[in-house]
Amino acid sequence: MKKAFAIVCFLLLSSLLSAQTWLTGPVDDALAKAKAQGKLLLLDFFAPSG
Amino acid sequence: MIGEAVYRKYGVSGTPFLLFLDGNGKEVDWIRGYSAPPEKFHEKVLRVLRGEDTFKVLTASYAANPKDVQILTKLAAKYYDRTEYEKAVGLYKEVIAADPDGKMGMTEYGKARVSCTELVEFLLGRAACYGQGIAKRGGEPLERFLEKYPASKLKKEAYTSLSSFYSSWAKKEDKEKFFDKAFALYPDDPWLRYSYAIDAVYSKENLDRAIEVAEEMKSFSSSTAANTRAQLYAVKGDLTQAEAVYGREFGDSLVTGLVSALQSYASFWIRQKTNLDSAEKMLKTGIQLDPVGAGCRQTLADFYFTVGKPEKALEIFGPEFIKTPGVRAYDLTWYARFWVQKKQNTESALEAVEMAVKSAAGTADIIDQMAFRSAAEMFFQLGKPDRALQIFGPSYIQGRTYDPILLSEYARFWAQKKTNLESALAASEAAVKLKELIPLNRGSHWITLSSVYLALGRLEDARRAAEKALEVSGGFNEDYYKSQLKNIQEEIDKKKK
Repeated sequence: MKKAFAIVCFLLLSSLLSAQTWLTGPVDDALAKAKAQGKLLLLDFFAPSG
Repeated sequence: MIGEAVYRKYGVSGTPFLLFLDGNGKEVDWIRGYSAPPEKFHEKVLRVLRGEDTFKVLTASYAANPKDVQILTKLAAKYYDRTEYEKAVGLYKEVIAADPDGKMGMTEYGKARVSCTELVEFLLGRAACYGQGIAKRGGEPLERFLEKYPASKLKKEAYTSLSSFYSSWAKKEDKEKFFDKAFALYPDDPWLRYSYAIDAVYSKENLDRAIEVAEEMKSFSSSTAANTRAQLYAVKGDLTQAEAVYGREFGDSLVTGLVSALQSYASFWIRQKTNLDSAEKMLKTGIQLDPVGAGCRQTLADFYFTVGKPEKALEIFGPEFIKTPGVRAYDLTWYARFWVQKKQNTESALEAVEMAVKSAAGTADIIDQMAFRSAAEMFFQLGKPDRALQIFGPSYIQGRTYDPILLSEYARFWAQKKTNLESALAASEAAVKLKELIPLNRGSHWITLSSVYLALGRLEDARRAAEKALEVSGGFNEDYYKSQLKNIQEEIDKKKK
């Protein structure tokens, strides 16, 4: 059975989606940045096919 | 924290899944799964950003108003969505305790608008059926719900949930009793039938009834129905029958159906002059699936003409296409018709027509036989009526007097051309005498005969044949036959004057 790789991406969200920054790395770092900038953090859990 | 630890920490059980956290790592809300169109999905994200009914907002509202049944119901749905069933069930019970009579607030579930109390009573029953957050799995809570709300808008959903319980968990006699009642109540519900049939695959019980039940799912999805029946036959050890209902032919029909659906989809959007990227993409997909079919190629080529790219039309539906091994006569005539109408590439069109005639000569397939008629039409349009008569004249029909459809097609063609009428009359008279397997076609054979008489100037005979068409039509195409009759009557009246 093919193993699906689970990937998490992070996105710092302000109230407008157009102002966004994609991050990679540990969640804790992303949380720290979100807190410092007063933004929400969006975690995108997905499994790429192929 | 990285990788799988993130999944574990936030209890993510499947993807795609979007989780919104605040700077303290607290969950604000989430979106489970993805569904098109992107604009609607984007709106869901924006709703979270606006703080509309998010988990965080609802949790705070619940702390401030612990007896607000609408907040309780919405928060319960959030927990259920994250598979935290025990918390959801706890909140359902709080709704019932706060408002046993269902007077304190309404909510929506799908298209149904019901009191929050009625909804959570249903959801509690459903949780019991699925064993979610409730220690004892069973159908009783939902049965009690149906007794309390016999006219509930959630009645069908209740039966659907009960079917899952009874099919997999109940005793055999209780299961049969439930499904007898459910099938009688919802004879057209495919899910009930699926629940019953698919369980038989695993339980290996009542296979014959399950096969019958699965057969009745065709109107819902012929593919699911066939797959279920094949599984049941496989359990019975009858792979021959499984092949008959779900074999190679079925696989081919899936492709044919999909290609046709893709072509319809693209044609629709091309007509609307909208969504053209997708239309083009779907047609290319159709061509990949059926490289020897003319349908998607023709639609795409036509599209390229309308957007001023005839060279791309030639690329996708040009002379190379007719050289593809396996192209059928019928598709060759579509190719020819396309280019004859465009008044371009006519040499290749002519070549395709000749190829179609040659190919169709070796088959009795009715679709391929129609290629002769199309080829004859092409020859007329290309200024070669003699060649039309040669391939689709008396010598053609002589050996094919067994099929009323072919006879009538032949007669109709020549009646329209007002040529070769004696042979057309003989063919048409033969067609109405043959036993037609399709009752709805009976009227059409008589109306063709009427057209032949009309072309011959035999107006009274034409009228009688049209009357006969109406008589045997069984109501099918009645308006058309009536208009034909009216036209003939007008011709007769004109002649009398």
